[in-house]
Amino acid sequence: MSYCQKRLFTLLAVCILALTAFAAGFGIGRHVLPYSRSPSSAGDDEIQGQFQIFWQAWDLVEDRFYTTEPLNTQEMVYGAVRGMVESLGDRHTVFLTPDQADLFRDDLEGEFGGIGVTVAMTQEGWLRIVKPIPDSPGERAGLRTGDVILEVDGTWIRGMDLVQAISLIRGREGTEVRLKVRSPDGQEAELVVVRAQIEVPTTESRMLDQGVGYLAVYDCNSLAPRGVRAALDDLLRNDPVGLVLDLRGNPGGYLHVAKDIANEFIDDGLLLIERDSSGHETTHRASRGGRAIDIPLAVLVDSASASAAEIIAGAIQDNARGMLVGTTTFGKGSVQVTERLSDGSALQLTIRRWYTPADRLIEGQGLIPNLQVDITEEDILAGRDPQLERAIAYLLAGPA
Amino acid sequence: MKTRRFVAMLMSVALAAISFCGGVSVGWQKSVLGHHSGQGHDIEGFAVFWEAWDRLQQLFWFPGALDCRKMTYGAVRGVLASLNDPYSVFLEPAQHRSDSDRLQGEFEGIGVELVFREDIVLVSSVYPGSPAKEAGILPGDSLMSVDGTSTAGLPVDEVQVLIRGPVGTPVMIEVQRDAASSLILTMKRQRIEVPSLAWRLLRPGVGYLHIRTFTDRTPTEVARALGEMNANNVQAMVLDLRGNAGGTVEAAVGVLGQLLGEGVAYRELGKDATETRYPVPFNSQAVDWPLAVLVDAATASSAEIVAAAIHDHERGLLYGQPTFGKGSVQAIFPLNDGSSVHLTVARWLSSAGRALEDLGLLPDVVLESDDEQAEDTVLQAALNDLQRCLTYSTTSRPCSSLYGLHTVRDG
Repeated sequence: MSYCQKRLFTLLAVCILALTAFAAGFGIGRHVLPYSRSPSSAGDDEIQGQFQIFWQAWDLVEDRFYTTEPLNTQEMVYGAVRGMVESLGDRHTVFLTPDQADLFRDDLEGEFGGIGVTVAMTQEGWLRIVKPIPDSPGERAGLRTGDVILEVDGTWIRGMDLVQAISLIRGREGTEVRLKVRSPDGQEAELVVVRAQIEVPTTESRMLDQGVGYLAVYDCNSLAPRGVRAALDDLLRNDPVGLVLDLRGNPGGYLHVAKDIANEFIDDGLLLIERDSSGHETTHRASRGGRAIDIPLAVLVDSASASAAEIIAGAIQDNARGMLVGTTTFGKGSVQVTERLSDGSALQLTIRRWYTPADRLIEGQGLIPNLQVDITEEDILAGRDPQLERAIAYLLAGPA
Repeated sequence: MKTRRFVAMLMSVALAAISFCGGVSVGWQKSVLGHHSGQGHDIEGFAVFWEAWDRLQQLFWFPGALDCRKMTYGAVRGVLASLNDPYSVFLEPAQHRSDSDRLQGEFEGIGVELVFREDIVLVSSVYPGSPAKEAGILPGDSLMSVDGTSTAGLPVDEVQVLIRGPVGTPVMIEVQRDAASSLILTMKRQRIEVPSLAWRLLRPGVGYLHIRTFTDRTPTEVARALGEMNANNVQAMVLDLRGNAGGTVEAAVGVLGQLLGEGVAYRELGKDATETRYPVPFNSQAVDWPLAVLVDAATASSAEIVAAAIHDHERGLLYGQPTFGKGSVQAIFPLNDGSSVHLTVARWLSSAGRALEDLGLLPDVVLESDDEQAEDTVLQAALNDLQRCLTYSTTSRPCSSLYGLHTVRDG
């Protein structure tokens, strides 16, 4: 081999080495690295083939759509996710924008930084104060029922949706928020409110005249188990003849919270069974050591008792631990998880079905109370509660 | 020499390492941006879409595999929904086919109209002379199956896809007339034309043309109707566009050619604020009769273009209720798999430059048409004006002049 040949050979070898290295890198880069950012499910090419028409449509919108404002790519991407999710036809599987996801998390946690007023959107697109929580920063600053919030920190509320508006008002404890408010008499004022940690009341308890303990749980959020335990300790000190657990209007919350609460009433029974779509089963049993496992129990339910609240009621009914009193429950027998996505948005999706201890699926059916008692509009106006009265009568008569 | 060798080796290794990293980078980009986002789309923030897609594939409670086609359609629908434009919509293949049949004014089938009522596909009407009519299908029959495929749970447009097919091919239809029995009828598909208009003589010299919708065939149908009216010595015409929601703009322009003969049909305001004027096709044979145009709140889109142009050219007055006010133009873009996107691509203005979005056209003679009453008061008012105009017109004040029309009305 001459010197030139040798040089050439070396150069060639180096080139081949470089090419091989590049190819190896390319392969890894293409197939291994982006795994989590691409459709990782099987039939990748098939999905891409199917997905061609999406890009055709996307290009058409970018090139041809008549609009006087620039296209909002963010909204288009969120629209695509929302539409894809809606195509599954499950109303409990939904896409949440970052604002919605934060709000949803706050509500499940039961506490957040805010001013402590419940609000609703008016027809005109303003924010109306429905009720200030007593002694909240909002109430102390002078916000009253019927007041309308026009601006938050100089931003007009009009044109926003409820979630966006609430997100503006909430914020870290100790920070200030400036509100422009119009009272029902037309007076406008600027208020500066210092945000505080707001805890949404989750439980309420008291001893009733007849020696019956009453415990209402409004929500199965993270704060609920603590509230239930404290309330039970309080009530049981009075040695009640029985307990009324009021789950009316409770929309549910966390599954583990439902288990925690059911645990206080059931000793070592089955609480619920979960099944995924491949039939894989998880059973949940009560642990020992609940606070109220023997005392006569009546549970108030209505058509707004849903999800986690139905888990509690179903476990009590199937373990014959107490009577359900009221009207048929909502009937939500599915379990959701909230998966945060990389930009703070989230996917709330149904992952399993749950069944009562007696293996009943309540989806679309609800739980039928042992004692069916209606409450009418007139009852509410007259301050009567026939469902509670029926529950008390049952407890005073003594279990059969 | 040893050092040189060492340096060469080091350099080779470094080169290899750089090449490797370059490969990883190019491969990753190709994967994330090219391959997975499709056709070189590099859209900021699109990663969340695939994240959501993957989570659903992995976690969603669903018996069996998820339908990727349905999810893709959902995504397209969602993108269009994000535009907040009610006219920018996605049509699945079956919907697209029945929509294009509708706009063409003809299709290959058996000649039935279907409605969906209480989970059952019902025959709502049967076209005269159609294969369905000859085979004995009656309005009110429940359509149970097509070529053995049950219609249970199918939307009307999908049933239509089953029924329609090439001319001359046979199709087997099962209908149920009463609870006890069902009939199986076989018929051969034909080309079915859906008439878009009807005309009649209101009085000697006054014609009435009712255009229900603007299809590809409408200009030809109008030409035939005008010819027949001419043969009947028509000198003035009521053009009824009430309930006409539009159709294709080409058909509307074609009709204007026969009524106006020249001028501007309408103007388009494009994406980059450019204005395009669309001419009325020149036609020296266009009719010069005075026109009275009947409109209502359902008169929209192409029908508004026709009404506005007749008004702007001072060829007729408008009678009835303010029109719908659809001032945007949609283009239909077929996609690869037979589905389509209807997209708003422009605003349109009347030939004289009036904007119609939201406002609609305000009739010269605003009249409430009362469904309770047997008499069509709007038609009656238009007819009276035309009649008076014909009676009192002179050579110096021709009836065809809009001002003439006004003078007579005021007198």
